[in-house]
Amino acid sequence: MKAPRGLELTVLASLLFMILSGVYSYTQSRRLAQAEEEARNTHREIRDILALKALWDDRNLPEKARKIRSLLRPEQIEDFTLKKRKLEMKTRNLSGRDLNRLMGKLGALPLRIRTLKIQRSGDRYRLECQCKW
Amino acid sequence: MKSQASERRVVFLHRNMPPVRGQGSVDLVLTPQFYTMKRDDLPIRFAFQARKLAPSLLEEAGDPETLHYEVLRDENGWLYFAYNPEEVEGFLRSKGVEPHRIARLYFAQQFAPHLQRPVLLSGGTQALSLVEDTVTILPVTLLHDRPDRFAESLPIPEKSFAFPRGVHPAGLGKREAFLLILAATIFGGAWFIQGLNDARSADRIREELSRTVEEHPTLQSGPVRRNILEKYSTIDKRQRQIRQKIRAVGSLVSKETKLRELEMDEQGFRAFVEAPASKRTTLRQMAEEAGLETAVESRGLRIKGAWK
Repeated sequence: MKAPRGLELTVLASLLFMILSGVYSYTQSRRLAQAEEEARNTHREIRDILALKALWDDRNLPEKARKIRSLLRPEQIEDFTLKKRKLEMKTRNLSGRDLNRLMGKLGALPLRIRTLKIQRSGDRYRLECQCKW
Repeated sequence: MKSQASERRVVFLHRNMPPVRGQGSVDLVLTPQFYTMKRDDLPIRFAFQARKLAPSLLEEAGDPETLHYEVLRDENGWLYFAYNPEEVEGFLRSKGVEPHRIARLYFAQQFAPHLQRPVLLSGGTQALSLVEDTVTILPVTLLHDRPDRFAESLPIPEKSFAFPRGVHPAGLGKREAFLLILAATIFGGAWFIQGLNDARSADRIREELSRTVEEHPTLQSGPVRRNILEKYSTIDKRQRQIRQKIRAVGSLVSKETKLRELEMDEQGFRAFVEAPASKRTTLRQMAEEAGLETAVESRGLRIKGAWK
């Protein structure tokens, strides 16, 4: 029994509805995927920026850097200047142990080491460094 | 008119026809037994206008839902035809022709110019004849002289019609149609709901993202964020490299080996570790395992490298 014309139109309408729904679903799923991707990237960027800023732009760094002085005896310090987000340090007559302690502290602080120079003379070391933050 | 010689097989559809043999497409000619025709001389210019009018002119032909209408320009107006495709399909099947084999459709009335003398229909008991300009089927016995040629020998008219096949080439049954509607509606509905959900989720994610970004006004723009991130990533990477190299050089120093110098600047680093000859090979292996470029010298190990 062949379908009457009205039924055929209904078939066509339902097929059209299915196709349009499919296109709509596909479009929205792509839009969702894009939104998720964008959100993921943005969150990651913000999280990374905040973490890196907190590390390398630490506002309390001058105070922490000053503590380096306490690791050394006054006669070992040739120069220790903290100015304009910069640290310039020249030390001398360091024992191996002093050097280790100093390097450990420098490495632990989030200072941006620009130059570092260590020279040994006999059993003593001389260390110069420039850092900023 | 076209010649039939090298064309598809022509089948004149009439009630007394014998079964049709063979395969392949056929050109179907409906005889008056399968259509209702009416002449009208209304001043109509275009075929689509005439076709719109056909159901009302051919009301007596039957239920318009089941009928198919065609129109043909006549000398003084239009010829209106109505036929039931379902009836034609059923009859054709009973004669061994599947409806999908129909290539073109004609009405016997189109052969009127060639029916000055009647022609025989297949089976030989009936003839197509012209009665007052209307093609009619008559029993051969009513004719004075038996026709000497068959209808199939007539030239095919230029104008042909398409046989309506519904939404499926072989016709669509009611049951199939309902199933198709059901399936399409279910799928369509499911996809539509899925699309709505995705749209809502996407909107919600974008709103949450806007709120997050508003909490950090300086990081609202993507390019700005990426610039800041690149700046800090570069710093982070370099500083981690510096500390890793310092640790690596430090790991080479022991009671027997001593650091003589170490220098680091923007370009790279250089170091010299003094070591007795017996230790230099081991030291070099350790340095290379730690990723340092080395060169053995007379008093120890030279280390150097550039920042990447």
